[in-house]
Amino acid sequence: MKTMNENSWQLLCNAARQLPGEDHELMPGVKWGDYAELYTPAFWKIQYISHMQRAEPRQFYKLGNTILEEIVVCLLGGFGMPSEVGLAAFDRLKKRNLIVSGVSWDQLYKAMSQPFELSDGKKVTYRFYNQRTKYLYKLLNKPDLEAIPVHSDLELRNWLLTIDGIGLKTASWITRNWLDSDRVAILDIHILRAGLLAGFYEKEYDLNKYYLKLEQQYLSFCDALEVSSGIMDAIIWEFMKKTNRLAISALKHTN
Amino acid sequence: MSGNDNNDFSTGSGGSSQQDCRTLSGQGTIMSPVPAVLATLSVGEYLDITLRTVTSLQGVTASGQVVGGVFVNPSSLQSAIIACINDGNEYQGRITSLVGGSCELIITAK
Repeated sequence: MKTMNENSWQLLCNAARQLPGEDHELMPGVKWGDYAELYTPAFWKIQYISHMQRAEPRQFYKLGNTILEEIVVCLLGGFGMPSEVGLAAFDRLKKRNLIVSGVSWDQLYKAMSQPFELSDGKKVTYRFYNQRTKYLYKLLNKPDLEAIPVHSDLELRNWLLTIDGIGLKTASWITRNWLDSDRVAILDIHILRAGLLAGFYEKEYDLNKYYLKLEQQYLSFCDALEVSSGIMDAIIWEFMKKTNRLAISALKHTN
Repeated sequence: MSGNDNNDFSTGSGGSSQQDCRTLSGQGTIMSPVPAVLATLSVGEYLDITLRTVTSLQGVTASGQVVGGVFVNPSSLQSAIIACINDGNEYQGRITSLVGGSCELIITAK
């Protein structure tokens, strides 16, 4: 079993002692809460401090060597696609030099429709290869591939939204990973639940409909906590996913 | 997707297994203990670790007096203990230090 070293533990206890009282307001309508209670703002602040005590706390990995590769690998993954399959498809496209502007439909279709052999030797077909090939073909034949706005996170995200198959969540994911951006957030059901429990969301809004509004509230929460929204997002997401059942139970008690 | 790997005391989706529950242990601190109760405690004594709310823990003396909320780190240990208590397991905290108005504990299954 892993335990924190004594010094880290004492530093964390000291940090906890210095937090504002649980009834103090962190932001309008949101109190700090008790750091010893899971899912309160004070709890998340302590998780952040604990995370930052590590030697190499931030771990956002770019999967591609170029922005175009990054977009392609994100288009190939997600939506319930096992990451191994998405990465196998990405690997094949790279090896065949198909992640280039103006690629032909036939080459792309052939590469996507042939079964992929995974590391365990198992052969699998990429699900929805027809639809995903269409997305890739459209992307790789966009006329403005030479002018992807990688100088600005918000411009990049807006540009990504012009690609078929990419919504706000995926566009934000690519933007954060590529530009290490703290002005966008990757929101999903786990962040939504965390927001409801911490109090920075008032009700369960539809993420697709209210993404930007919810993103703004999340970013305001991180500003108030004085934490990097990107790192906080990763911390919250991981913990909420691990404690899914407990979080749902806690939510029932808050309603 | 967006996650980082953490120190792992995970019990999956917040559930528990009996094996995990019996072997869970770690450090905890009661940082704002009730002074009158704190004054009655001594190192080596055991407290019951029980649910204070659905998402937090507390230390309770053998006579049933609440000492205060328990701060546990890593947080995945706290969530695992809560899940195990919800599944009927019991925990205790052995007092290892009573310095500076706080109460340090080593938490183990009963």
